[in-house]
Amino acid sequence: MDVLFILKFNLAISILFFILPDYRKFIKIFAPIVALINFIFTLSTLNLPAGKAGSQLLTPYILFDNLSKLIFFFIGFFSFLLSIYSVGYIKERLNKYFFYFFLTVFSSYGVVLSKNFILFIIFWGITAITVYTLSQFSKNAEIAGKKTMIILGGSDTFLLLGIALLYKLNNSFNISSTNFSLLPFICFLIASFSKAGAFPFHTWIPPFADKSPISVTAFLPASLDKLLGIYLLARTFYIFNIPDVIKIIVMILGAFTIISAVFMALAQHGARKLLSYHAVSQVGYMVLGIGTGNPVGIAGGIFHMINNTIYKTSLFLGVGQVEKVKGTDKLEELGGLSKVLPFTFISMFVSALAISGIPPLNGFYSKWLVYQGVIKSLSDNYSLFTVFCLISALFGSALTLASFVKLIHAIFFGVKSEEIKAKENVLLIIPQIILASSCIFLGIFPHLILKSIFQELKIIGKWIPGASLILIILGIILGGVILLIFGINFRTSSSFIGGELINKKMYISGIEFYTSIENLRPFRYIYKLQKKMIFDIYEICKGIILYFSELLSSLHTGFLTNYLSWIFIGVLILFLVFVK
Amino acid sequence: MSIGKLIFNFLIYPGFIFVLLVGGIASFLERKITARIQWRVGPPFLQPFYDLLKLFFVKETVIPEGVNIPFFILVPVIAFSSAVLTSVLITNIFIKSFQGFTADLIVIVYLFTIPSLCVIFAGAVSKNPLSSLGSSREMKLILSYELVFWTSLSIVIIKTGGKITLRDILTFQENSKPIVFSLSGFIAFILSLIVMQAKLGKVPFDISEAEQELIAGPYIEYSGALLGFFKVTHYILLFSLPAFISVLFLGGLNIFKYLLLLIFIIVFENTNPRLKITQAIRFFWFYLFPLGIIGIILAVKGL
Repeated sequence: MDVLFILKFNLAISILFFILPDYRKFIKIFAPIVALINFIFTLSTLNLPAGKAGSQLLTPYILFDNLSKLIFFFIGFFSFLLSIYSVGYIKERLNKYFFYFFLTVFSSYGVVLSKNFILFIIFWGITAITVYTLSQFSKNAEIAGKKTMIILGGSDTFLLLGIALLYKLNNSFNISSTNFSLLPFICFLIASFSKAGAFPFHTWIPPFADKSPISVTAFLPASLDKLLGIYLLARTFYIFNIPDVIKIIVMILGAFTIISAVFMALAQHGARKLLSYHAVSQVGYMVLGIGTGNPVGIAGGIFHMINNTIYKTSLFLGVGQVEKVKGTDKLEELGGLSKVLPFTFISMFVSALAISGIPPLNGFYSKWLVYQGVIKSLSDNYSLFTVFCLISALFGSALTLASFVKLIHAIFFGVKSEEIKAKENVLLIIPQIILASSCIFLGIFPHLILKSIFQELKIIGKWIPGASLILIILGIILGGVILLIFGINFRTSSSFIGGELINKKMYISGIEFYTSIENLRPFRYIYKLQKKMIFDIYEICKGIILYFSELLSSLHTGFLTNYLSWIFIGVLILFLVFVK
Repeated sequence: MSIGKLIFNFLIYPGFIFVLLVGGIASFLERKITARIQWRVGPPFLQPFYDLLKLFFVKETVIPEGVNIPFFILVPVIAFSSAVLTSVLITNIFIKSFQGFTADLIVIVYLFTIPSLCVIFAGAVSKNPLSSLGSSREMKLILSYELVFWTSLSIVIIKTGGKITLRDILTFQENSKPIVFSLSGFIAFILSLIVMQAKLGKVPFDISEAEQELIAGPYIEYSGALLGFFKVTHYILLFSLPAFISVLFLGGLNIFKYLLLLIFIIVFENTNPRLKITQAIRFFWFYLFPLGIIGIILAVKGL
């Protein structure tokens, strides 16, 4: 079986779903099974050597190296998990949903497999369209969808321009290493930044995540778009020989993405928006890691991409479950769900710790590699900037932790919610548990991923996750034994404040945790400016275009005499020009 | 490395029992000196251990109604366990026969956040408004000192030329001079001392416990053996944090260096009033961080 077969398979499945009528009961069983078969096919091709991936004729067009294989595998993995979740989550038009779903899988496979830029941009373009169409499966997502479409489409134009410029240099559309030239590099950077959502092209992600169905948010901006965008970035770093000054600029962009987005996340009141800003801020780590240009940094960046897709998807899925039960993602109205939704609580808790980089989970390991990459590039020029990138990445991790403390507190602890007899939907639970446990698994066995792309990695730090986890568990067992021997006599009792039972109104939800930071002198102004969308490149461009179009439209007064005089002046000018 | 040796290291020396003893004695010293400063007699030598025995053997454990009980019990145990792990990772570099199981400074600083994080979640799970307030303050305190701590540590990284494992940093200082004997190193050392005070939650940074306003904040609903675990964690940190700072800046650890840092903690504690949380954030971000930036510039220039 070759990789082309998998492409054909996905295309055929998507067409099949397009033809099928909306037999919900059938699709509910059929779609996850097909996704599982697809995942098994994906697994079976991973051992293929690069030359034998396709038929003889098509081999020059197929790129199947270790990086491609890694992303190929994870596209299959996420499409399987998300197909289970979508079946439980999407309420109507399931056939059309899965048509776009498998079309996305097909085109994402195509992106990572193509060795030819023309093929690459065709597949790349299809993924941008399916983002839009999939987002429209929830009501009132038009504006967010439009913004997404415009930003992604605009960035595709840049990608096309970059490819054309590269063709002019090399006379070939092959994706292979070439000399550095600035313009195509910038074009590729813009395309990958807008796909993955790094500053300043990140602004489509928060409204998109706020409005579109959560399974789509988890599938595209949180996982597949990250994979593809960072794949393009890594590819760009492979094919060009990047000079130091460009590297440091990319690193600074990454560091700035981390800090700015995470400060925005601190101030959010909706779970989806909070997560979406983290979907932006985590991209900063990948950009920073890949921007260092040394093997450890690149390995960290790519590993972080994998980890981020795992825990971010898990978090979005958890929020989807919470929304199913409570009907809202507003943190003010949630609280006290840790006993109602135990599995969601555990998996979201683990994922939140992973994204905050708590050892021994996977997020820590990849961040740790990124830091080492940055430290390794300290000895180059621009060491002062490098230090600031390092500090902002390290500090960004603490800020991430802070915003997740807020999220977990507001959803699962905090207010004593009224008694709800809700049960978790099994279809929604399975993917969350798988993802959360792979957070732990990859944290302890990171070499499974790292060995597959980087044969030997010179790590300067020292961290043995397996032995450490064993010791932590040993400590917990020790604590349990001590508890069992000495402190077994528990008694429950209601809590008091000042000798009186706690009033329901006195509970603290958690949304006000960081208002004191928001009100500090410089931050107050920055948050105010942000509310006016000063930092949104889309809004800025929109403003400029609207300004000029209004100037032009003011000429259209509707009086015939005005138009006639304009025509007269125009003819006069033409006349003068041509007579000369 | 053999598993048996690892477990011995973890449980007896230089792990749990050893650190608990040292931390307990340090806690006695702290209380005694504080008492003498305030013209009191002070506790007997074994008082910290009497406290522990009382909490574990005598007192009953009360759990508030309606909390997530497994989580409530697990949080202090994880705090204790990770604190022991951190101290083992630090002290292992001094055992000549056993070099395998150590870590670098990034890992150790991340591990040091786990006990604080457990305090936060202890406050969150307790279903008490005061404990939630305490958690939010603790988190904000982490945010404020973490920035300064990383600034100070990156000065160490620049000074040693990009070395991050504790063993390498130690060897570097043995070959030249301790990092504190240079201008930027001295700035970094001062910053780290203040961060250490905040990490230990001592006055003036005991904002999250704030006994007079929040009635011990996150710990408010904890009692008996579970509170005992938090106490043990605190004793362990009282040893391992100064040890970490001492390895990084003073070029190793011995009893004099440790006592020097301990006395600094005690004096600092007894001569300052508690800050408000906004004052602490401002103090760290707007005063100490610029100082750290100056230190970084000096370090890059080689001073």
